[in-house]
Amino acid sequence: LHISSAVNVETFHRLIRNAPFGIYFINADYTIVEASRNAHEAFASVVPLIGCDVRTALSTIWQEPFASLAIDAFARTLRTGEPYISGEMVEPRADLPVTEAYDWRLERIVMPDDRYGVVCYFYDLTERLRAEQALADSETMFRQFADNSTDALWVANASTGRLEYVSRAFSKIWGEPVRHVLMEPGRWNDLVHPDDRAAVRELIPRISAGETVILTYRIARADTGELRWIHETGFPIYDTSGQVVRAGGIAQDMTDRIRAQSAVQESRQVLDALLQGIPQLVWRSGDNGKWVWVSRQWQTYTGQYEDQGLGHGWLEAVHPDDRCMVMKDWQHASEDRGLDLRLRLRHRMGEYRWFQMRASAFLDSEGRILEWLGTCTDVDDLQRLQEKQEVMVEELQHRTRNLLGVVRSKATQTRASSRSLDDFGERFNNRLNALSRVQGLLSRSQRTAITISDLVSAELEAFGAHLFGKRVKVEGPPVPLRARHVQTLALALHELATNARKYGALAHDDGELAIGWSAGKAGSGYSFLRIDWEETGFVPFLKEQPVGTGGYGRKLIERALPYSLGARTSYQLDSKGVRCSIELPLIDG
Amino acid sequence: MNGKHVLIVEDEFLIADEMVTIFAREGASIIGPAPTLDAALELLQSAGKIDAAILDIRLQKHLSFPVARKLLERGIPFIFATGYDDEFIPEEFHDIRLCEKPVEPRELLAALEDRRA
Repeated sequence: LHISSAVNVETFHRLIRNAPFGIYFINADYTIVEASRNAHEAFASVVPLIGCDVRTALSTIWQEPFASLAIDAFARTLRTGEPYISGEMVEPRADLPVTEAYDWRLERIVMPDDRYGVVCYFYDLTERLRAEQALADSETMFRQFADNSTDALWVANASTGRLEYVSRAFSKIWGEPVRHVLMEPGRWNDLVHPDDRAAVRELIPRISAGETVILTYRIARADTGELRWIHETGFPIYDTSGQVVRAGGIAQDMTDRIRAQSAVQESRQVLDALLQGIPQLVWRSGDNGKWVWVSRQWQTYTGQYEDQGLGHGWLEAVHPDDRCMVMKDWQHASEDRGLDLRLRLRHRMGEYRWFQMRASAFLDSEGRILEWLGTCTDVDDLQRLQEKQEVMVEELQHRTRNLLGVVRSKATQTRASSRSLDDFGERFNNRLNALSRVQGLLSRSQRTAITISDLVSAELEAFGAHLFGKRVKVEGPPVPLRARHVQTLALALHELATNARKYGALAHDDGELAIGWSAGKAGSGYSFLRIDWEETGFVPFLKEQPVGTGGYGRKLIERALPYSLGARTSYQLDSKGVRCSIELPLIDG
Repeated sequence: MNGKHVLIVEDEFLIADEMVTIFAREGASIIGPAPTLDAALELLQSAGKIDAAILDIRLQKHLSFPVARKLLERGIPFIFATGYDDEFIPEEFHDIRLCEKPVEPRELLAALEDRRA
């Protein structure tokens, strides 16, 4: 290269100074004679640059060994005329705490003084490299972000639908290496649950049309076949012209969350079924008995609609006599932290039944009452049983006292007519046995009514009537008796039987005993019972019969039966035998 | 119980009979015994002088309170006889002695003492 003298030297200098790249010249003495603006900037710490030795300038801005290498390159080109091409170089500056990149060349030229000089022109690559590095850094960062995310991130080409990138989490969720889905276009969809495939197939076309798509679908893991739930958010990626060039997506594994949700739902269903299924009227209440929820059972029993039972509406179903009491109990419920009382509730058909109302308080962490959960349990049968039991216990008590009175009276009476202690013992025992038989019959009377047949059989069996064969005849219908008839009547029959056995028909070889009874009908029941007791076929020892024995038996028949039961009785003892009749009214007067 | 006229109301014959025996032995003149409410009311009408009475509270289907009320009206001292521990007694009869059966003469005498006091 030869700068012609024809070129205006001034023009040449101006061109160089304004060149849009770095350029400077040295003469044969290594003195910098001209430099472009960019060169001045690069050598900013060398002032003045023009007139400075290039070796000094290079050593000022570059560290060793690069400074010396560069100086050698100048010397060689100046001496030999061989051009020098550095290629891309990156070196730390000596004067600044930075690293800069340049591509620079040297060529020998003939200077205006006709001596050799060297031109150096260079490109500052620092900015370009910095931009490239920044791009590389941001790509790395994105990849790190994507590959460390527990969600699977992917990018697909919008026009072909092919996957261009899939993050590593994919293989964790799908159980499949990432490269398989990148290489096989249909692979992703193959792993989707058959019922969800149609929706997934539409995913990229919809995104490509500009839509953001949120989709939940199921997959079968490639390795284990396990079912997993995927929550997918797909979105379009635009280029600068506003065209959708790519589809991006974030796939989240939400199997655990869905399982937890369905577990919660399931347990809620079980709880609901339990609440609605237990045979109790369940409800929830706020303060002071203001109900906030009623179960179907409550509605079914009372016939109230759901909203009718709320607030204090449920009181409508409570028996009017019990309302005051239940509201009073509610006032104390907060102190007691509970409620437990018995009240009557009206069935939708109008009948009242007894219920046990119970409630317990739900407390918050500080012990304040949040709400009440309550139940009403049908205890009507229990209540009735208890009432019946109370009556029975009372009755039993009464009967026992009464019985002791009777025993005492019997002891007194038997003693008055006894000849000796042995005689007393035997007769008193017999009477106690008779009394005991009656108690046995009475204890059965709760279930079945005692009939006159039962009474007569029990008494005859007790003294062994079967031993007498045809000499004892019994005939009559099984007429039911009232409990209060039984004891006195049985004791009277016992006295008659004892007399017959000891002194009457059955104490003589040919004597016969006939017991017969009949009843007067009244409607579906009986109005009276008539018993005839006849002992014949013997001659009684009229004078020898112990007065006491006969006396007590007759007293029962002739006085006790009329007194206690309003019976009409007769008792005859003569030479033909014994005839006794008892006519007992069965209807209360 | 010299010649005192004592009304006995008791539905169980054997117990009534025993009380009659005991009170008669003590010198009382017995009115009744009456086994039912009707019979007792009837005796109140017809018996003339009555000095004291023993009332069984339960008379089969009835309670003897109507008789008790009439006795109070006439100022005749009496006692209740019962087989129950916690018999329900109306307020108006709360001053009346309650005795277990069978009633002994001294219990009736004590009731007559109360009246005098």
